[in-house]
Order: sequence, then C-alpha cells, then structure tokens
Amino acid sequence: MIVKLPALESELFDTWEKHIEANPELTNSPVEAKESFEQSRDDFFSMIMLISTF
Amino acid sequence: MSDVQKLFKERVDRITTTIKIEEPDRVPITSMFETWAGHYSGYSVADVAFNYDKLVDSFCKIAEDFEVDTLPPPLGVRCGRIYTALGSNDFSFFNKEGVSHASVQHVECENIMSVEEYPELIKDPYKFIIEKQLPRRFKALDQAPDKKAEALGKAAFLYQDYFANAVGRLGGILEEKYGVPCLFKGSTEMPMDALMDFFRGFKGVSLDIRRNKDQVLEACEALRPLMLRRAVQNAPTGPFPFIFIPLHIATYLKPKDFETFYFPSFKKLIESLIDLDMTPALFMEGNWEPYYDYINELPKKKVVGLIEHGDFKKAKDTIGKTITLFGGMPIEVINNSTKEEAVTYAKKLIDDLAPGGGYIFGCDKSLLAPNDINPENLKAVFKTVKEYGVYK
Amino acid sequence: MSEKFQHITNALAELDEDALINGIEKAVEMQPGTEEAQEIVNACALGMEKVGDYFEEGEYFVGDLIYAADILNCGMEKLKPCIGAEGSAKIGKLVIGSAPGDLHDIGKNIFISMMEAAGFEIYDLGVDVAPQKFVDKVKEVKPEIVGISGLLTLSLETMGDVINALKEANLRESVKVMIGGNPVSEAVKLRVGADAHSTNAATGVKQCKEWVVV
Repeated sequence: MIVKLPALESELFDTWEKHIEANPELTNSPVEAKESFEQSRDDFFSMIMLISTF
Repeated sequence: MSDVQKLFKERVDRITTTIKIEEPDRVPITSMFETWAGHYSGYSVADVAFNYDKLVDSFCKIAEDFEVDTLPPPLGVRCGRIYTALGSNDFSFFNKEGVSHASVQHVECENIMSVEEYPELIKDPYKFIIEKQLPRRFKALDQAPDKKAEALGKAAFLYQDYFANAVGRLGGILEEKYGVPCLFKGSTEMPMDALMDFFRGFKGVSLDIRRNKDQVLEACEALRPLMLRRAVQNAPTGPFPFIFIPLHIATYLKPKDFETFYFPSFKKLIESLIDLDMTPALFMEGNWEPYYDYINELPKKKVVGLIEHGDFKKAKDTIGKTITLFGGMPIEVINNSTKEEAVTYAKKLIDDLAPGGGYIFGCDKSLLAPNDINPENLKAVFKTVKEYGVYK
Repeated sequence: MSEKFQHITNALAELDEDALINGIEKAVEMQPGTEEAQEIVNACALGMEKVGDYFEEGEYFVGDLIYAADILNCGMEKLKPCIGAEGSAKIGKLVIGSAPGDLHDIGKNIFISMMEAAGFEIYDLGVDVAPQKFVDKVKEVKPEIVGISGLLTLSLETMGDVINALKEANLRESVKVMIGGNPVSEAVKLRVGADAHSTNAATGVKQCKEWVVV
C-alpha cells in the first residue's frame, strides 16, 4: 500500500485489533504477523473494490 | 544510464513539468489506448481480456509504433478471467456463440439496489457491497456461504495473478524495453458516479435526485472514504502521481443539480487525494463548459483534465491556469479527414492549448473498437505534434 | 388548443411532479370522455415539447429529460382507464431499436415515451438489433418512420449497416429514417444515409410529426 489511511468504519472491515480480541493468544505476535494481516486485508479490500466499483 | 533509461527519464521529466503548468521541452503525447490496442495487433477483445501474452504484446506494439511518451495501464481492457470465474451479470466480452464483442459490453445496473435500501447503504456501504451488491452482480457470489467464500478466494488469486503477470509485467517491459512510463498510479470513481454505475443506475439516480434528495447526498458521503481508499491502495505503478477518475453523470446534470449533488463529494475527494500528494486525472467527458466555474474552485495546478468537447481556446483561457488539459484531438477528425486536414487541426490545437505548458496532447476519446482510430493518420498527427509542439 | 389543461402542460414543462399528477388525477375524477382524455394527452405532449425547448436552450440537461419521461409515464398510466381499450387514433408508426452492437437504451426509451404521447404506435425492437430484424419488422408493420438509436462510436457504423439492409430489401424509399443519440451529427447523418438526426428527443418528435402530417 502506498499510503496508510485510518481503518474503514465497517462491520466487515477487519482490523488487527478486532483479530486479537477474538484471538487473545496472538496479542504478542511478531510484527510480521500484524503487518501481513493488514496487508492481506488491504489486498482483499482492493479486490472487492475492483469488482464492485470498476 | 542506457539510452532507454535516458528516454524514460526524459519522458518523466517532460510530463512532470507539464503538470506544474510550466513549459517542458515539447508537448507530451499519448492517448487512452484500451481494447483498440488489441485490434491494432489483430487480436479480438476476448483475446486481450483473457490471454496476458496477447495483452502485453498489444500494448508493446503501441509503444513501438506510436512512440508515445506514456501509456495508461491496460485496466480498461478488464480482466476477463475474473468476470467469467464469478459469473458476471453485467460485463461481457463475447456472446453465447463465443464470438468476441468489438468492445467490452456493460449492461446498465438497473436493479442492483432498490430505493428502499438507501439507509442500509448509507449505514455501512462496504458491508452492503459484500452482502448485497456483489451477489446481485455476480452469480458465483450469490450462493451459500461456503461456495461464496470459495468464489471470493478464486477472485483473490485471479486478482493477484492479473496484477503481477499482466499489469505489472507490462509496466516493467514498457519501462525497461521502450522507456515508456505508466501514466496512472491508481484509479477510482466519484461517489455519485459509483452510486449511479454500480448501485442505482443512470435512470435511478436521475429520479433519486428529485425524490430522495437527502439520501443521495448521504450516500455520496458514505461512499467517499471507500473511493478514496480504492484510489490509493491499488498496486503502485508508475512514476506519476495520477489517479485516473472517469466522470460519468456530471454532464447529464444541469449546473444547479451538479452543484447540489455532484460537486460536494467531488471536491472533497479531489482535495483528499491532493493532500496525499496524488494528482487527480479527471476524464471530463462531454462538454464541461457549464461547470468551469466549479473547476476553478479546485486547488490550482494539482489536477489534470482529459477534455472531449467544447471550445478549447475558451477552456485554456478559463480553466487552463487551474488544471492541466489533456486530449482534445477529435477522433472524428483523425478518421474522417485527410492526413493534411488532421495535421492542420492538431497544429491549431497546439496553438490554443500549449502556451505556458499544462497541456498533454491526445485523442478526445478512449480507443476501444476496431475502427475507432485510423492508425496512419494518428501516427502522422503524433509526428506533427512532436515537431510543432516544441517550446522555444 | 383549449386552455383547460394548460396547468398540466406547465406542470410537465416545469418538471413539477406533484402538480402534474394532481392535475391529471383531478381531471380523471371528472370522468372525461375519450375526446377530452385525448386533450389531456395532447396537453402532456405539449409539455414535453416545452421540455425539449428547454433542453435545446441549455436549461435542461439529459437528467431532466429522464425525469420528464418518467413523470410523463406516471401521468399516462393514470389516464389509461379514460383513453379506452382501442386507444386513440394513431398518427403514425415507428419501428425503433438500438443499433447493432449497442446495448444502451435510456435515450431510446425517453424518445419512445414522447412519441407515444404524441400519438405514434411504437414497435420497440430492443437493443443490439441486427439489421435483418429491422428489415423484417418494417416489412411486417409498414411504418412511416424507422428510428435507430446509439451511444457508442461503433454504432455510427452499424447504423449504416441497418440503412443498407433496408436499401437491399427495397424498403428504404418507403420509410423515413431518423438516427438518434449523443454521438450523431449532420455529418454522420450524411455518411450513413439517414433522413434526419437527433440529439434531443423532443425535437426528434417534432420532426417525426412533420413527416406524418400530410
């Protein structure tokens, strides 16, 4: 992602915070876990936006 | 630095200077080559939408034969594989007999969202898209949860593959072999255009602005963060900060309606993109003269506008200090005049639009179907602009 | 033309949906005969002509035409019970479709609404209509007018294919051909061999009326 934007306000927009709330044992995951989680969420968003608004 | 790298840098500098509304060495040239690029190489729309080698070859041939300074990414061709995997209801590349269309066909999204669903869309548009809009537009997403999940998984794999092996690969070859930079970093739509194109349809929105005024405005506001995120999250390609934004409904609204419904989210999205150091490249189809005053309210020298109709001298005089102008060369003239007449027209365009910089030469429309442009005349016109468009 | 329904003409011209529907509903409550009902239809047709004028003058844009056609349709629905089963006498027949390869139809449908209000019998072939389908329908219903609508630049070519097909079937001389849509122009009209072109549904209707009035 080129630019970091604040999380989208949506029930279906996942965040690392929501994820570790549901999986507390992952709270102290390596930084790569958080970053890759957010990247894959962003990639999923991009794909959804491509097929829904392009 | 190799010759190709020099050529690449020259082109990047040329365009970067142009959009500051300063004079570069000469007027840059390009056009919105889309499925026509395939036709030029003897490929059909289906060929270039499904076969990535044919897609890449087609655009490389454009770079080679037309010696343009930049090219848009091939997204206008669309990734046929995703649409077939998901069972699209509104996009098609070929008919039931398997015969390719002359250009990508899109059927108006008439009943994707009913007028009663405005509150739901406004409350959580991303959720509405995933739960309702997508299943209504793609049959494979209108299935039981596990099957829908698989379909989304397939789409994700196809999406990754497309951006790596079609779009990304082409961008790399164009840069390294032809010294041609990619014109756009990303793309998006204005909230009201997205509302029309993918939720309520043209007829729906035209009626909604009479019967559901507040909801239209709220829906535009709700969609805006999604359209911003879409713009800046796409695969980062190219040295230019252009975000391509086709504008659809604007010129079908009288100025009063444009001001009330279209302009608020239009201006805010443009300002947000500029704050993120992006340059909105607006595809101003139709005649934008009635709305020039609104264009002049935008931050100066931060926006590019592809123009189609109107008095271009007037455009240069009225909005030419606010936005960089792009396009304006009528395909009608290139196709239906002699080479000499087309060249004369191009020179007049340069006279009217080039002074002071802030002008990129190109065709007034996207190039889609086989006969959309006469290639020999286009080459002659490009050649003329390279010589005549030199700034002294 | 009587001033009795002037308020209906004005309501439509000014795109005042409430005034238009109220006006028509009140008129319908009076249980008008078929002749008077026809006067109401004419009042609507006049209103649409005014809409066309506003569009020509640059006051109304395409979004307004869409709204006008929609409220016209709503109004005509309310009038249906009064017009009678056979409908009023038709002043002419129109065979119309979107050009081969073109799926767009909003403009075509606006034109059709206005042509119906103006008293034409409509044969709508839909979208992406092959030249042979035009030919077959023209043979079948013998219309005065053939309309070809298009939005894509490639439709400007296929409009020519339709007209050539009519020529080959020896039908070209028996009809007037109008091409319509955003990209059409005088130059296109001459190139494809049409009789008229229209980028304004209402003035297109005017031309069609002139053709059928002897």
